[in-house]
Amino acid sequence: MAISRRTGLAALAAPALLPLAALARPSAAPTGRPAFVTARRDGTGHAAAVLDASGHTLLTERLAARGHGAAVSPDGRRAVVFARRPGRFALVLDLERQARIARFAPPPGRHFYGHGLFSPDGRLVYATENDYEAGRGVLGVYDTSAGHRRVGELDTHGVGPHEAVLMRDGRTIAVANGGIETHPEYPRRKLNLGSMQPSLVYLERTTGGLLDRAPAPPRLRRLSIRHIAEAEAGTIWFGGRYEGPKTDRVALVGRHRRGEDLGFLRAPRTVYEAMRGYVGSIAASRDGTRVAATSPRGGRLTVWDGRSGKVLEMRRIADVCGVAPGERGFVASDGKGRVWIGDEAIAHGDRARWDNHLTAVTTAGPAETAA
Amino acid sequence: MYAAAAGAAAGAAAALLLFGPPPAAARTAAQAGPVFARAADRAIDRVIVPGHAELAAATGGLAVAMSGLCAGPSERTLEAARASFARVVVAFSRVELLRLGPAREDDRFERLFFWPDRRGRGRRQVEALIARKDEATLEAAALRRKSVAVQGLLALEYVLAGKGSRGLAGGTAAFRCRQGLTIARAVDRSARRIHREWADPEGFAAVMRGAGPDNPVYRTHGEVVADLLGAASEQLRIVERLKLIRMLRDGPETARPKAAPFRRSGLARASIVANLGGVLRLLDEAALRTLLPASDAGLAERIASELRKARDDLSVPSGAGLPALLSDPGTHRRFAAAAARVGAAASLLGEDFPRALGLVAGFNSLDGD
Repeated sequence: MAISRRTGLAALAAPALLPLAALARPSAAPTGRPAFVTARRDGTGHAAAVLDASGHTLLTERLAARGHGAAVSPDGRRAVVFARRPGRFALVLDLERQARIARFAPPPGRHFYGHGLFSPDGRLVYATENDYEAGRGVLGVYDTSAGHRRVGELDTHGVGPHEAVLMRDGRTIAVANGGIETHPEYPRRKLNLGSMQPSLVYLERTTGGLLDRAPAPPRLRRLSIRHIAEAEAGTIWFGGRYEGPKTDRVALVGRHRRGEDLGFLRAPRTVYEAMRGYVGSIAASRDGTRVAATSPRGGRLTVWDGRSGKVLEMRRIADVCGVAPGERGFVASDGKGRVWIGDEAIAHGDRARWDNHLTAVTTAGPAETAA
Repeated sequence: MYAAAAGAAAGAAAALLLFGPPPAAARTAAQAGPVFARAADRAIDRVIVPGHAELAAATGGLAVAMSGLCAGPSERTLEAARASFARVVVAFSRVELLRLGPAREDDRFERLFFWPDRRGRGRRQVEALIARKDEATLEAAALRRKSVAVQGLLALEYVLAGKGSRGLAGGTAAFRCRQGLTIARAVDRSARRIHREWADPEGFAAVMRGAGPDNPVYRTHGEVVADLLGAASEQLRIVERLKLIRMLRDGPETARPKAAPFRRSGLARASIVANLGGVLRLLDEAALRTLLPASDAGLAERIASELRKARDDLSVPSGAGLPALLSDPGTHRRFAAAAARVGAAASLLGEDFPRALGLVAGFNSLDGD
């Protein structure tokens, strides 16, 4: 539910803040297999990066500009790193050979929003894009077996689609329509704050048919739904960025199942306050029982119970944003160049600053240990 | 005063070094807090509240002038309404940078100034309102339910200076006038509410003044100062990239005078100049320069100097319309130089200034997506 400052919801008990972890230690030599794909800024510019399970860098690949999210193929062999909006490049990495193998771009009149996904067979890549002259969101469809040619486009039935994920059924794509209209001619300006209509939509992957659309309720019209993850099968968790007055107290995390209204989660007042109006990334544990949401502005990583919807843990990590499921819990990255595995941080030198997202390399296989 | 000669400014800076507070870098966090708190107080008391009081006074005058025009259409009353409108545009442009607090409540900022309006929604919808002559849209409440694009200054500009506005003087556009009056009152309502809430001792100003660990918005007064610097720098980027560069493009042949807001009323340059004036006023009246450590003492003056020169470049020659000015290579060059100066000032204010004060946000928190 939304917590308006006017309703004066009584503050619930705040969960204990965990103490700051041990000091970050320098990065040792990488040894492992690819476990995470991410983007970073460093002394020489922007790069895509592949990390092993212990947070060590296996590969960096130069990017012309700032990268954003990544999609990993179901067999875990390839990854696509997308440009941050309103960028126009997507880089394809071979995770086995640890090399760049291709790049592709959207057609004229479209730019990437920074997120995408693979089809279950790994052949198609779907990217969230802006059809900016029309002011509508689309998913561009690219065929990896045909030189990453763009072979189709699905309407997202909303403005400003940001993150999109393939659900576990393999047939449904969930899309977070942030609701904010932008146009490359007005770099990073929000053109429709007075008439935003964010929504979560579900599309049939092969036909693009609209399966369900859950709009933000009127009082949360300015809550841009941007980041999503599927926790329990069929349940999409979302994190938002609030574009309304900073003094409003609103829920920033929620979950949804098709056919229902968006459910906003209650949390102790201090949790949402600490998030400072912005959830930068959201991830589900491998078994779907837990969900992590990060807030770089507030420097907080929160972990939620997938079933009860309650906050289990809140940690302070300055400028944290990237988060992904790891072998033994959530792995997070921050703007100070640290990768957090539990309470331990691996520091990366060369002025590395991890950008917004961290994507786990997982393969569809036997059930894995719970995060 | 930033308008003072360089020598005088240097003298003032020296005086501050001798008698003023110690530079920020030399202060402990505990000492810096009160210094930032006083800067926030000055910004509220000397810039934000008076600026919005001026705007509300101007919008009140505009509603009266529109009423006069509708009651007695003539060249004189039309001129009076347009002059009133010009005062509102200048007053608004001086506080345009303050897209925070009360301006963000209830879509007030967008209601006042729906721009950029990429598809010309405002013009089309106002044209439609005037053409339909639907008495219902003369009701304030009905207008509020319409798109924000028809409730603000650009909608009113179209009424007063768009196609068909000459009829306002001859009394042949009675409905248009009354629609304009309804919009003027809506503008006045938004401006008065923003002012009232800023002036409210328990309103958003109190949130800024009361920064602290339990404050829901600002943990420290440094965050308040960072927010103000960010707002000012963002406004300069808007002037540079969205107002000037989009209008100037590559040269006189490709320039697009229509890209600037308030070009119909001939107030485009006045508005941009007032935008720069608003930033200068914040720097000056809130005495932000006094926050800088000695090693960066010249930063505020460099910013002010760039802005003053840009303002000068944009202010001459006076009179001529934008299309004529932009088609002249010399003027085009001067305006392009002004855009570059505004961009330089935006970087200094948005990056160097907060860094000098130790107020830099993290990589991810700065501009999340």
